[in-house]
Amino acid sequence: MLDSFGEVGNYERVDKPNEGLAHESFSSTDEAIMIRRVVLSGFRGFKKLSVGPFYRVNLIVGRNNVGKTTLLESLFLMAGPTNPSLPLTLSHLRGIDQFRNDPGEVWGWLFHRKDIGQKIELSSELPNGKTRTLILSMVDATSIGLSSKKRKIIRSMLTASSGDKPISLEMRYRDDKEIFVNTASLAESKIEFKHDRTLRVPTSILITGRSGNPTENAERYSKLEEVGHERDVLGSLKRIEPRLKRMAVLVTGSGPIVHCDIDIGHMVPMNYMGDGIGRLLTILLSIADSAKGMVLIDEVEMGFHYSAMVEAWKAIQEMARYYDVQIVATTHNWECIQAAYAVFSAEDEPNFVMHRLDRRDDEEIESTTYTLKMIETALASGLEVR
Amino acid sequence: MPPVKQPYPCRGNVASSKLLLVEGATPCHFFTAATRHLGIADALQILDYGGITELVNYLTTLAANEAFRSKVESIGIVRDAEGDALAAATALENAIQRANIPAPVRRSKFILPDNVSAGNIESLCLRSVATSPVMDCVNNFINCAAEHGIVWADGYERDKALVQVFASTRDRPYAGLAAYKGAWPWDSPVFADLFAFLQAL
Repeated sequence: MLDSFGEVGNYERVDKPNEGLAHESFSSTDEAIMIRRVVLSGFRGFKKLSVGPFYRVNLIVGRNNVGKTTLLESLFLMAGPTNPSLPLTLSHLRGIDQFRNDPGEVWGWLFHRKDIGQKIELSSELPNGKTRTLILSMVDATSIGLSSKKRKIIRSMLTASSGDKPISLEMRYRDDKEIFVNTASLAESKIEFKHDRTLRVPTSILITGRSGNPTENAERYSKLEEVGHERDVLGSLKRIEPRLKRMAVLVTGSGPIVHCDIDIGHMVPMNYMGDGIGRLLTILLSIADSAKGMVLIDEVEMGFHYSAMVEAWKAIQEMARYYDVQIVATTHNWECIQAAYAVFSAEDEPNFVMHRLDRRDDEEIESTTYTLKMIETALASGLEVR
Repeated sequence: MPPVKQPYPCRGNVASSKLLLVEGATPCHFFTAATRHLGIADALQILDYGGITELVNYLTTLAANEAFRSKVESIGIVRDAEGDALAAATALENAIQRANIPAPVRRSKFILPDNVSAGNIESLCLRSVATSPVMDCVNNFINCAAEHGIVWADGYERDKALVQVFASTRDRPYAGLAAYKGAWPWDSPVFADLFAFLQAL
């Protein structure tokens, strides 16, 4: 759960079920997220975009600046629809950490053409046909009653502007049963959150960097060890590092770090292993920590030698199936697509699909779905799909 | 130094506003040579869709391709008539309809050998050399082999064998590759309709 903007790593957990809420009534239980289709309206560069169907594992391709990462961000918001701090997490993941006391600067880039007078509508359709909608809009904060209990001040503004009218980002989420309204308010040079935690949703994680946060990885690995599931990850990692005998969290001067035994007489900190194994560890631990949720991976091929991509996809496939996690990943990489085809075309059930985003003009971006058969044809005939 | 192997010319991404889609390696090479002869090779890209059973899937994948959507104005699709030119044309038309090709793209088709007869690309090649003295040798070979128990296919299906025998007299002994070496006389009137089709794309 993201409580502090300053503590954000390069991936984030959304709405982690909070044990402190165990006595409260939940409007949703442990139902898997598993989105089938999304329709986005007014979000960042998307005036309107419909993408689907989504399967268990989904690959997003397309040219630079067409909106692949933005699509992941929209899914991230939909995965934590009652957490009003997530938009700031997205800013952080894009390297923006400080803002002036200006709602247009803090939240403006969420809105298409930075028009904060408009609404953002993010709708998702589930396999059972039910739809869930998250609407983000800027509202006058004076109309919002923030109970002191639910207030959380997370960050001071870079510069203060005391005369500004209070204004809030409202996140209005509607599932098939209820409506939840949460806000992030900009007032008195601070951002305050009204976060209704009664909706329990599975953890979902957005991975954007090359390798994970070592502390987060250590925490996640420890959690797996606690329930005796660490071998799930070990077995999958062996696919790209056959020398791997065991792993353990060891405390170093830098804090707890996952270490690997590769039979050289010393445990090696994961940070000193190759990029590929570090990247795969981060992905697999994220999957294990997101049971029934989503793991969103930007540039999934990053860090992997092309020859390791098949094994990496197999590991992701195994873990995603075991933990009932939906994967949405972006790539620019031909070998990554080839490897995904090799792995997922061997399955009996269709569990994989690829979506390509293309800009039709300044305003319109379209999604085209590539089935495994179409990918096979493209790979065989040399037709470009990236 | 070993010769550099040329890449297969009919594989790759869309690069031209005019596409000619062909069925397999033999027509790929045949049409590559023919368009060079006509001087339209630079303006017309030839792509191999694999086989008739793959055509719908190829067209669907092609229609989704970004370069196709942004560049292509005209596509021509060629296939063999085999036993029935009309049935082949109908099947090809159905494939085009199912592929969801954007409306502005002009579509045309040619059923080999002549849009009417049963046959294939080999039938057309044979027609172009029907008066060649070498064809007497080819026929003698076929007949001689038959006398020794070789059973040849009948009708248009025999044309593939006849073309192979004829092409074996050239230094690139395959129906498609022989086209690069002038095996098929491009000035023959049997190619007139086909060339008109290519030039109209």
